Amino acid sequence: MEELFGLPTIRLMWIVVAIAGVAAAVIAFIFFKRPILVRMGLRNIPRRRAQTVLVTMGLTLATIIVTIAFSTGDSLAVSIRGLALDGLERIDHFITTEETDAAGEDGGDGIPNQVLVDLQSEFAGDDRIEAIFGSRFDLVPIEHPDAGQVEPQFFLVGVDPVLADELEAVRDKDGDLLSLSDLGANEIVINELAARELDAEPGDQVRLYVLGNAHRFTVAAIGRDAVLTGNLEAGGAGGLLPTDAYQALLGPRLSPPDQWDSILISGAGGVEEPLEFSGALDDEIDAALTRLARENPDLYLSNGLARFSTEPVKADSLEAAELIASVFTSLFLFMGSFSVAAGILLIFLIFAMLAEERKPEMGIARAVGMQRNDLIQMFISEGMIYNLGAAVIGVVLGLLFAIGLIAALNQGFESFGFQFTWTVTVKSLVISACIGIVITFITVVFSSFRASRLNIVAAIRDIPEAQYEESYPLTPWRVFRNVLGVFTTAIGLVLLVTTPITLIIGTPIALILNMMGNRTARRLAPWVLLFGWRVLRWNPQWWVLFLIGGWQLLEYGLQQESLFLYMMGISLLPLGVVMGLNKLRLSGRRIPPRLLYTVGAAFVMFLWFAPNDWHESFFNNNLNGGPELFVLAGTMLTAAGTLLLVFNLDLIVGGIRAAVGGIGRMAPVIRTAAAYPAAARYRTGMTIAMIALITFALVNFSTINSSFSQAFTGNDTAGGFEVLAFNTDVNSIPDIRDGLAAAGADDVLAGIENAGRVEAGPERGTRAVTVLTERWDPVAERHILDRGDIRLVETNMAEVRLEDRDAVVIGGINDEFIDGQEVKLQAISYRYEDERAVWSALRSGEMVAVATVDAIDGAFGFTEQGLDPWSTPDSVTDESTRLPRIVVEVGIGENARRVEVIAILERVSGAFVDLDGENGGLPTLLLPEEIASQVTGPSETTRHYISIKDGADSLDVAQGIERELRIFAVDIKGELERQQSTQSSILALFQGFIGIGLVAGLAALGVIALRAVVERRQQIGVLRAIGFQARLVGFELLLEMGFIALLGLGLGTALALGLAWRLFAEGTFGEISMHIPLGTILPMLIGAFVASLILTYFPARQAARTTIAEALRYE
Amino acid sequence: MSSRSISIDIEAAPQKASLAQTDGEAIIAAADVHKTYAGAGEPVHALRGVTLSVARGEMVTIMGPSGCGKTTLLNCLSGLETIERGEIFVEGRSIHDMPDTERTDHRARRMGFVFQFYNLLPVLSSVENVELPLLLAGVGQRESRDRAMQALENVGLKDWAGHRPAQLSGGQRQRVTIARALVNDPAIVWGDEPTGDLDSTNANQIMDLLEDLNQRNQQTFVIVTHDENIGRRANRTIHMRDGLIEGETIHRELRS
Repeated sequence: MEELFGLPTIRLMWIVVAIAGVAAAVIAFIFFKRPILVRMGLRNIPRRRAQTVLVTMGLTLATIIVTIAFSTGDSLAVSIRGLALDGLERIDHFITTEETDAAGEDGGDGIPNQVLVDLQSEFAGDDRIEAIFGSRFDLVPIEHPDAGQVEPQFFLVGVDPVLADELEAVRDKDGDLLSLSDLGANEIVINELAARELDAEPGDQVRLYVLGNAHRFTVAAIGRDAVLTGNLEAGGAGGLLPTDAYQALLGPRLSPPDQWDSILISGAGGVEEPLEFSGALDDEIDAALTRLARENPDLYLSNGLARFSTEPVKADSLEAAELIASVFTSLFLFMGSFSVAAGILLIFLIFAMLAEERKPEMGIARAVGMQRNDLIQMFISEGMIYNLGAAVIGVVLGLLFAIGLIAALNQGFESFGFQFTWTVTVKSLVISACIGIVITFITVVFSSFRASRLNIVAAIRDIPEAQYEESYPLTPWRVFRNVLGVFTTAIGLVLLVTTPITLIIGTPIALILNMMGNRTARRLAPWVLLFGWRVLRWNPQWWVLFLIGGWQLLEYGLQQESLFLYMMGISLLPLGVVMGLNKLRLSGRRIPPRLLYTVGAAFVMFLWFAPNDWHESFFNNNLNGGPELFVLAGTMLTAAGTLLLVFNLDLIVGGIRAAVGGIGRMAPVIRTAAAYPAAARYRTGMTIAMIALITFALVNFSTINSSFSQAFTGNDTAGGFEVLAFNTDVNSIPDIRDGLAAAGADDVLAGIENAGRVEAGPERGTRAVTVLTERWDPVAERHILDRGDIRLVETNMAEVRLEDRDAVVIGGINDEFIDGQEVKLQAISYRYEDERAVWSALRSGEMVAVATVDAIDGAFGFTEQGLDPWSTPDSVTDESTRLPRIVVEVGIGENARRVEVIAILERVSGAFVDLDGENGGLPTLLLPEEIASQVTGPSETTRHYISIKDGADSLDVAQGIERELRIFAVDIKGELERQQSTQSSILALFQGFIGIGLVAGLAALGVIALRAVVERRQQIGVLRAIGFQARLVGFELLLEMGFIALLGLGLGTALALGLAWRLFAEGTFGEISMHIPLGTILPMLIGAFVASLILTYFPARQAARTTIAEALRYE
Repeated sequence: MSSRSISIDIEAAPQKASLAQTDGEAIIAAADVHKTYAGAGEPVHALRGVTLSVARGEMVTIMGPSGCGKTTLLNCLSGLETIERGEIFVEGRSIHDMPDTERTDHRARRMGFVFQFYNLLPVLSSVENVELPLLLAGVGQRESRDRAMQALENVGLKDWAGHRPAQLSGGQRQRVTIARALVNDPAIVWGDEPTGDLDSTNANQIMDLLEDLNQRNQQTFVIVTHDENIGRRANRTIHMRDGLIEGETIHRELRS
């Protein structure tokens, strides 16, 4: 993988190596300056082995996540790259017709041979080019009679055999060369996929069907899946013939002798070598085409536009491989960020625990003269040892996870016939290990600062810090100091970030440069940062940072229209206010923290649950966001939710007591189990936050995905049809019933209930679109009528003619299609009562049409002009259920017709009648068949929409159609199930990946439980002395940890469902409705809860086995 | 107040007598109790054949130098610690023959404990700490709360019922501990240096309280202490040295 987030990965590697180097330098500095501190830190490691294991486990999380992400990215990059190189072999550039691109694989006008001759002449003698040659291809049904197998979608390719042999362009599956020149008459090379589909081997007889006639061929060899062997798309079965044989087979009408379907260019040097000059060569080919167009516009231009274009297909494929790898890595990093955040919280918690455990000794150390800095250095030393161990373990575990993940991905993609190979590069390993080290180092440094802040007296006496809490009144000097600190830190950070070199080389070099007189602001960055940090360091007033940072982010977010920055700012602001007010003393009294934090947290939650429109209207500003908001929402909502919970835990505990407190002798157990978490807010809060964060990610992700999956693979998607069959120009069946009857396939025919038809017109015939509609002029407003939910305003008709806007795909539908469809309509013209009236108008052949939902977004190009789509009294949007009168003009010249769009098809159930489905984006207009044929002329392809009778099997019908008519037929139901299964396995994979973070939450529970056993030893002794049975002591701890786990799981689930509800309610995902996958969520939650109990069981057992007398003596 | 010291002839002490029957008045009877701690080095013989009996309603203090086995004896007598050899009867029942659950239950119903470092649960309020033994004994919530409040009133802390231990002074915490020890009306109250962490004023107040409760409720008190002033306030002081009882001092006779 070469790039990530637009940054070259090699640079990323050097940056993280440099920062990790800084971390190492810090430790080295401490070691050489004060080796005793390092030794003091290290001696703690073997003292508590179980704790060391838990600490290391927590610290490995970040490394594991990053390693998985990078290794998966590498695997994808290498696999897809390999696929592209194997598939293209010696082909580097394609010259294709623009029309061919637009019309799809089914052809259209070819490339005149003169173009090939011109290009060959233009580049004659160019030693970068090995060959420029033409190729032909078409979809030809093929049958292997002996095996009883038919493949209607067989891509047959025709190339010059001598040239192909010279280029060594065709190889078998083992990579050995295949000679096309040696092919005998009626011999064909088929690719591996075709061989598998047809169950064919060399020597087998196959039949190719052209215009209904069968032609016998012998399979001469099985070629590797490649472009030249017909593998023109993933999963594409195909084969290869010499040009002459190809032309003889298809005849002059389907394959005119003076035309090619594409021109292929092979670079010199081999498979990968041409990539070095591919970009430059492509520019030159493009320039040559432009030059030729000037010289011969009749041949090279159509309607003033270029007819031919060049594509550096190999370079593009490799770029796509890189892009896919980068997208996957980003996706994994993005989803893994929740786990990394949970891991960071775990590190904070662990260090807080370590600090609490060692409080008396730290207090004594401080009392006898140890500086706070020394404590910090001691903690950093200890943390870095854990860190290094964790980095190694994390990388190893990450690689193991990645291997599993690739295996799981392969399972998911099995039905697509594609397999990934697990790979990892040294660069990725270095980046993963260093990122893990850096994240942990930064967290350890912050944790150490916090841990080192102790009141010496409270620490020595091991009593709560709160009793000795110093008050920090808000003096003007303190405020000034903090504002100064915040600004200088920010400036330092900005300078540092904008100058990676400063970051890499660091302070010592900056010092040398400064001494040499090269005093630039950038090189001052570390000093400014250090100064700012120095000012902030002691007793930092975070609320100032939150306020200033929050305000700046809010302002910047509004300015940039960035919802992410805005939401971050507006979420930090109330927290800053609350934190500041918490410091305030009114007549010596403070505002109750419960009140402050409850209000603050509730407000932040309100901000996140408020619809986007509310924010936009409040600030009168547009705000746009992407998936990165998901991470921010999770973090902010979890933080606010946790604050709300921990500051009201006593109320929750009271509620629990009131509800279940009276259960006999369990009452004291429940009481203590609920009281301990309420008393230890920090650790309870941290653990709740960890569990909630991951639960949030899991539940939200599952809900959104399940809703999409439900929408797009549910039964509604098929629009009432079970089988979809396609005609091609080589093999066309006008009427499916007649075809089957003629073939004597009565059994197949018997299963068909309805066979509708959509005649898809050539898209290029519909370039010109004019929209005529009523435009609302408030001044001219005369009558307002209420009908449905649209406000009708009679206005002066203002015609808006916009020529040559955008293309639409025209489909002509017959009556049987209308009879069989169950497509839902999202919006209906106010002139029509209901769905029945709409379909009835179409059946009666009126000049009306229905459009797919893409018409709203694209609106025939209106948005590009900055005009409201279908600007009407109430503009048509995704949420509209009623349409104004919309008249569109489709077609060109004499063929132009004006039709009224009377309905918009609902996206989901209309998906299968979206004739532009594969490319997406272009709207489809469905018109009565007769009108469509007037606009587009004879149809190029016919789609058969078939619904089957009760009891009939859709797969049998689809296979029967393929077998009898040799046209491609899809079992829609089976296809949906296949998609659903693939989606489910990939979804499970991602859930598993996110779920890794739960380890942090569970580990936190383990840490707390272990700590509780030690910390409460004396209390356990007392409880046992006054009558707590041993099992109750253990049960109490289990209950306590279970209580925390439940709070975390409950909070995460509630927040995730709340946010999902908001997103679905405000239409973020269009008309898709929310579906809560209880079958996924509940087992996940129960599993997490049980795991938390299992992890707590061992400390609980230890607690139960405490010897009373020893415990009472314990200090 | 007159005191008389008695030296016990260890060799002549009754060995393995049927303690449950022989002394009907003894609420606690121990014979030839041995306890050894096996540490990393040499085993420590904490008790080397202790025999004693305590009458119902008696207040007994156990005194001796550090490491003589006072606390171990208290723990063994109360069933907090297992013994190696010998017999201990509490209210006529061999405490070490009971299974752990029964022994624990017995403690919950019939015993109260006061420790040097209070050992209150920091996460519960005073009243919640006090009512804990009652709830463990299966007493209803409302009754538990009423009795706990009464117990706090008895020790003069009714107004501090809602406070957590961290919000109380040392003396107050010990009063709460005493209230907790007495709330279930135990037959025996065990105290391990109950005034050890208090100044003399607070210590005297606590002892006044214990003495008063002993005399009013006729509950048996067994208290380990270093403080001779406290020792003198009991009916009897048992003196220990090197894991053995070396004698006893009777400060005042137990009223029948």
